[in-house]
Amino acid sequence: MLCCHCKKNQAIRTRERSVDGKLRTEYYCLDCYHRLFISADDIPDAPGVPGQIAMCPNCGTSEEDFRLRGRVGCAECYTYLARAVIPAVIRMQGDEVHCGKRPASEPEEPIFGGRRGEAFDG
Amino acid sequence: MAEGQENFIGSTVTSTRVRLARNLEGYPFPDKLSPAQAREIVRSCGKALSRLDDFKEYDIGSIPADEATYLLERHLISRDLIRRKNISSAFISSDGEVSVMVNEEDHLREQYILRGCDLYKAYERISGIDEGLGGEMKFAFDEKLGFLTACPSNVGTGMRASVMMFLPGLSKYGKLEELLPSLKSNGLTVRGEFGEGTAAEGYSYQISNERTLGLSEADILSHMNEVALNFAELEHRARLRMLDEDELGYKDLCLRAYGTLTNCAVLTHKELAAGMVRVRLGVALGFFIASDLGEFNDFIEGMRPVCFRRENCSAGADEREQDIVRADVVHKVLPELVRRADGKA
Repeated sequence: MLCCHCKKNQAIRTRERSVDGKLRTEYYCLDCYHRLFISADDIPDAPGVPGQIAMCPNCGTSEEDFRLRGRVGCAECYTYLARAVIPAVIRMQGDEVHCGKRPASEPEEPIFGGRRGEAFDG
Repeated sequence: MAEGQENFIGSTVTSTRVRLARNLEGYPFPDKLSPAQAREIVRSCGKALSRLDDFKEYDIGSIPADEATYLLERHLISRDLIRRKNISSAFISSDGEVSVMVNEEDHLREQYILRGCDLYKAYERISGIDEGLGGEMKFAFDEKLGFLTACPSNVGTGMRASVMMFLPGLSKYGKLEELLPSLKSNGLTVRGEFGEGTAAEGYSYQISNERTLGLSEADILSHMNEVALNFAELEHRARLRMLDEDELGYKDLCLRAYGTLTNCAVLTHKELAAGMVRVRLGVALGFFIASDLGEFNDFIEGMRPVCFRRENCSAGADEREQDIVRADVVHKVLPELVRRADGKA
């Protein structure tokens, strides 16, 4: 089944909407689903001062830098720039979690949208 | 049906590559490294690798441009590594199959390339190196995001599994363009032979997984293996269609190319490249039999301009001299690698 929005890609996400009092299921591809329904407000707040442009204190990369280059400057950017980076991860990879190989020694707390230990719900 | 038609997978999948992206904990990623930090990472990596196998280090900032091009032609380093030559190095195993690029887009880009189609073997080999490195250095890793990388497109497994495929049939009938949307929606990407941003040359395409998160390494390998086999099957059908439509015409085209290549006195790289595509097509359509497909593909790789010059010509040989040597090499070597399937000389 094709995505009801772009009508090009295969639909792999559903969303239910009430139309004339009846529940209707709509089908979206991953890209359209995240563009239409996932916003920065869904991402837990990154550390830092509210209202200020987020910047990684470890390497100095800003949200703007990330948006321009599509690259983070260090591992800490995934925490401090979560508001910009996590949606990009979701757009590219889906709202998935790692299920592959692990290194011999692992960090104690997971990073995810700045709130360590909480799952992100798309 | 042409006599001596080759096994279609062998003449379609020319090489396999598995690449793992890793970064060291406690350092910014390469574009933010200080020169001192970059040197530390190169030194640590070199030390760790020396305990695993016999590797030769190439300091990209110090080696001649020619040597960098040679390594690029051999698919052992990337253009991105050369672009960061002030901070980058490459460690190449003595058998030339393992390459660890240091300070490319990520601190480490570990890769294993082999001839033919064997994704599992490629992964097994590079995973061994990766575990060895991971035992000596701490990688940046997150429980949910996996291995952390400079570009979010590589987080998770950090793994890119690729097959290089020779697809003249699918190219001829425009099937690749038709397949592209379906490939993308299945998490795959198609590129030219030298990766992102490069054009396809001589009907060679690199097909790789796009997603690296939410899939295990085994999932990616299994999926890519299935894709390679499916593509090989589609290519096989396209080649049968070519033969059905004009077997004699294609045979003539391929034999003429072989005849010219093996009987000239001066041969430019451009002429060789154009001719070898047709000889390769001839092997694929069964007009030629290759005594060893791997050696045949290696020969084609070895005829790239800088590779050829370094391995066959004297230092300082000008273009004309190289062209003369090239003609001589092809005259001697090509008949040892391929022969006419119809038994005629």
